Amino acid sequence: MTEATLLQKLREGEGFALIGKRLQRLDALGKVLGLPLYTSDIAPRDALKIKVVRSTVPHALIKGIDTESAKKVPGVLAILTAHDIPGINEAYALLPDRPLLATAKVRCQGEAIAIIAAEDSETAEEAGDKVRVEYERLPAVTSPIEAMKPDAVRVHEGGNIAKYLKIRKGDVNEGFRQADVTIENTYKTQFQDPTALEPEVGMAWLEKDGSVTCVGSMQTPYYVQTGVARVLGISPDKVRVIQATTGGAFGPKSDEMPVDTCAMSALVARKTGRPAILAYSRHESMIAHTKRHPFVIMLKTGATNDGRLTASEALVVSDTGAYASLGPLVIIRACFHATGPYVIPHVKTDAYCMYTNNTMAGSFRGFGSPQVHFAAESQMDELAKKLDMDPLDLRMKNILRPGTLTATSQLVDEACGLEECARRATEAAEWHTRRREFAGDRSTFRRGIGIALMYHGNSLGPEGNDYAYVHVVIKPDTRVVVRTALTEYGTGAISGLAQITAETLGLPIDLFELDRPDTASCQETGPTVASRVIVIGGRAAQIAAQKLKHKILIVGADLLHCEASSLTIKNGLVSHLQDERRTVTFQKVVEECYKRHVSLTETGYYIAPKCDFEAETSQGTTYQQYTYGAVVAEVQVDTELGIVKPPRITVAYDVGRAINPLSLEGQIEGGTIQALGYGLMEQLTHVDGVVANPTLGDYYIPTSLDIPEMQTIIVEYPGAVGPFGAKAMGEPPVDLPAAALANAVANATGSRVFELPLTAEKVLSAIRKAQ
Amino acid sequence: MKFNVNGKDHALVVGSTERLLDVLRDRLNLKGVKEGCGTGDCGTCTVIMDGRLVNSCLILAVQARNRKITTIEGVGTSEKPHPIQKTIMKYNAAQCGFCIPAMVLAGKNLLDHNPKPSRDEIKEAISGVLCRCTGYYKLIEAIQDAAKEVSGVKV
Amino acid sequence: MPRFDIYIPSSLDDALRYLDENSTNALPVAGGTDLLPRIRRKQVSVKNLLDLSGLTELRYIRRESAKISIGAMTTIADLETQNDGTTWGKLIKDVTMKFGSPNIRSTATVGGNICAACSSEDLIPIFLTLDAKVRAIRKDGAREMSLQEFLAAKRKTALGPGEILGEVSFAEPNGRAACAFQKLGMRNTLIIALVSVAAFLEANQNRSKIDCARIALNRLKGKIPERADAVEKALLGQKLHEQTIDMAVESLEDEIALTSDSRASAEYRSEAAKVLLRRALIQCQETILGG
Repeated sequence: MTEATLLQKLREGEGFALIGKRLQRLDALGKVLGLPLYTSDIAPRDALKIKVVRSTVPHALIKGIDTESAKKVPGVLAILTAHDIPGINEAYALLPDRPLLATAKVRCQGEAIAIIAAEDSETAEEAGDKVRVEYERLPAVTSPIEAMKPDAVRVHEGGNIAKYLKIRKGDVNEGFRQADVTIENTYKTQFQDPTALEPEVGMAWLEKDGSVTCVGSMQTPYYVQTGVARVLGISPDKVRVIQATTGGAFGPKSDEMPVDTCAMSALVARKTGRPAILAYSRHESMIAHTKRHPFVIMLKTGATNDGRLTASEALVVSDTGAYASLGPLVIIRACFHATGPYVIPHVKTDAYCMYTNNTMAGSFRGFGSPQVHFAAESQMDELAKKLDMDPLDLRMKNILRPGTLTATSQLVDEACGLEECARRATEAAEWHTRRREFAGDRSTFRRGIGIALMYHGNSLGPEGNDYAYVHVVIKPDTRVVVRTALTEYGTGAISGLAQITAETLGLPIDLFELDRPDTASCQETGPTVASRVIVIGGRAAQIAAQKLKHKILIVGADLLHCEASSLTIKNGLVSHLQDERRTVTFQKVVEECYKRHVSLTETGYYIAPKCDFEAETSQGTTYQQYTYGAVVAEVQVDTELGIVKPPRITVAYDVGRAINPLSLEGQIEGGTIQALGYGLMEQLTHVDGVVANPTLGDYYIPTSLDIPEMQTIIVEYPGAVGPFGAKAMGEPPVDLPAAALANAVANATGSRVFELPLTAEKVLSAIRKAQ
Repeated sequence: MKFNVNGKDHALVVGSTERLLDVLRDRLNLKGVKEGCGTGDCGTCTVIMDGRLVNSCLILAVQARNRKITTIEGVGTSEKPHPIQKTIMKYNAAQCGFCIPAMVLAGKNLLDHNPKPSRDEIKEAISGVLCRCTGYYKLIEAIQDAAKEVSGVKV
Repeated sequence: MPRFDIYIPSSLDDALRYLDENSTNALPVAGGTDLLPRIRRKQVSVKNLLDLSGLTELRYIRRESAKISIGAMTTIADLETQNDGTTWGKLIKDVTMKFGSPNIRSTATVGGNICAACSSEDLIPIFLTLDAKVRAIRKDGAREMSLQEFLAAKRKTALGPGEILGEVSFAEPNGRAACAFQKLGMRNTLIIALVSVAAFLEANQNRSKIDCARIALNRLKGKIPERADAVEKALLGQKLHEQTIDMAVESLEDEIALTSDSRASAEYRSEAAKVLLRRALIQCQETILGG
């Protein structure tokens, strides 16, 4: 049997030993015991503490930086500015638009200007307060729509458009001609703070040979390696980066932030010869790190009287702040998903990623999808209202099904569980019963129910080369180490790789160990983003496991005097498939391999097929597979105060294959609550470019007392790409809850809020308007 | 000043500006106590002080004199984990893990005072600790399950 | 954290003596839940802190002859023990449940809450409606004043040099009285109130009319909690029914003057204040009339 056939059989899922089992994660013990795992916990005692002097204004020329009094503070060992950078003063994720330390200009609040290193953090802070920066203030542009105007303040020399792309499918004018009903609305979403419980932190020290080692809270060690090498002006192979246990990430720790913390630490280490650590305060973190892009979305939708969508025209505008970060990629995903998961013959979408003088927006779980689904799904309900149709019926009439085409004219394949998700979610949520029950409700605490559907193109798609390397080592004692530069930061995905490896090898999970992501021992593997660890990393793990299995079976065959193809690994034994008595222990085979110098270290490499679509029209294959989902939310609205309480939420996802349903539920539940916050209570507010609430006492994420009763339904339509048919599920759970809540509130009150979050004030205002 | 941490008496000279959080982490090397915000809003610095949950980032070290403090390091071991530590592992309720020491302490303190808590009482007990990864569901389930073992109910 | 020295008193007398000798540059700290973050943010500069948190002499709740006296170092968690089904007990159960988080309640003190003199301090509107008196103590004596007199302006109390807050006291609500506390925030716990309303109503013997009405909001016209005189006037002597409540809510409109900020507009806050006031009054009505 060829490797391809074996993999095919594995993906079709014939009798799994471990896949689909609710296994415990491999990395939990240290966490429940509170062992020192995170970067600040393992910092050397003599590490210098760094304080960053940051811009307090959104847009200004820097006329002077006076560090004289700061230098005089006893215990200060170094004060560095841009002039002290030996390499290139750049720290950017995609477009080369961002310096590590500001020189002539600052473009947003929180931009780093100077670095202070001292024996302790109090001294560093005291010195930081003594640094005087002279600003010549410039006018600031703080709205992405304003930024589009020809006479707008220019954030960068090249203008304010960081990225533009479009979809042209069919003829949208013809589409609107065919429509009996056309509606047009503008939707707005807000900055959301990632609020990982561990703020950004990175540290660095010099090795004896002059190379630099960095340890930090991060998602992508190799980006940090490249970034630090660039700033120091040394070759990347002189920079070793190790990911420490990371206390939450959600996207913002994959791009500029860990480069900043590690590069600044490395600069200090290089200057002083001492190890250095930069740990952001929460206040600093909330100003300086990247957030979810706010969007303004103008949607025009046309449909026939019987509810068939004919045309969609969209203007999708994101605010990426002063520096693009991954804004140009977020806008691509937003553009491609802006219609929602529906069949629409004529589509015209124009999408702009705009610079402003607000603080930076960047990668954040969902990556544009939550924003456009809020708009698209609100729009579907508005259309249903206009057509006097049940919002579920309208959707079922238009959803993507196998054989239909997406907005980019990609053919939907058989692995499309959207209909089943919608059906099962609404059944479990008692959709029709509740709608009837709530219909005449005129009480003060009015109840409502709302639905939202989504599709989520898997993995990087058009965002880059989608590959991964996973190393698997069988040690002489038969323990198996899974090692990769893909990172764990809460998702459980790396344990999932071990589970996939164990399944492929036919070994029990308790033999497995995970190793630290380290550029010294792990191949560069692309970023840990886009929910791709299981889908792409899982394939690489399978390939490594397959290669090892092949070697084990060859040696086993030699010991058992038979063909390798008639052997299997099961229950700690290498046995003949037809004759169970012909067996040798796995331990023995491993020993034999080592004796014969058969290497039991293998590397699996997998790269997804490239996406192929037309540049001008975006028509073609934009993603290799899609995750689908449905969320039904129930709300109770206090119609006198506008407060929205969510008693119940029901979610259904087509996950392809649930590798570990227990970990999967954890991701779904966590994502749902993160999105609940996004929908109801989270708003990082800028006032004239300055963050008004950079504290957790004034920026509210959900607590344990804010959560609804929740039901999770898993649907499996195995996809073509992932191991055993798995689809991406790290991000999809945040795409819909806000949209479903918005629809539920509109259902309860009869009036719609077109902006997130659904604050009490906005809800009350909408209620008053309708009265 | 003298205080008792995880059953052991300590006598330390502390600075006036040192917080209990700093003394625990930096002087006593108890890294399980975290600093997530420094303003008493996230609860990752939670310790048990004289039988009550407190935010150690808001307490000056001197204010903890003569008190009895329990941190995560004083709860269970790898050979003999506390029931809550076992159930958190059972339900994969620890994702990034940063809030887990505080959650274990909140759960333990609850069960020490109330061995048969309702779901609402569990939610209330952990309401001072923020979690961004789990949505709280599996943490609540873990504490509820652990209560059974603590109160001796056969599962 | 900016540098400061700290003095740990051996007793209340010692603390007062220290404060007397260092009144110009010593700042008392109780639980620290409000003060410490402010010191870190450099909103308060301090040379010497006087740590009151260990003074058990100031940590008590006394109920004698219908008077309740609470020592300034009593924590919010200590108050939770008062949950005994009486009018006062029900009020305090409600208030403490809405106060911060369990962690905060363990160390936040009654005295700290009052002396913060800020609209974010939940106990102030409560004590205003209970017509509480406060006792400022110093080395050589003490003086009493109403809580209203004590609160001079935002973050400013009537405490003079060498003085600390020792105790807050009030008459225990009798069987014809009812208390209510309504708090509005953007999630279910750990919030600073956007708007909060405390109400105290006492009916006459046959409960046919309102003998005493005290209403306080976290913000009315200024930046600290205040009693709502016009509302109280509209309630006093009236029958405890819907029309009275309507009129009381109407009259709030006349004396409320809130400001907008990035959290909420003045219009919304005023709207919400009226709704919370109505709910608080209905809650009192139900208690008194057994509704």
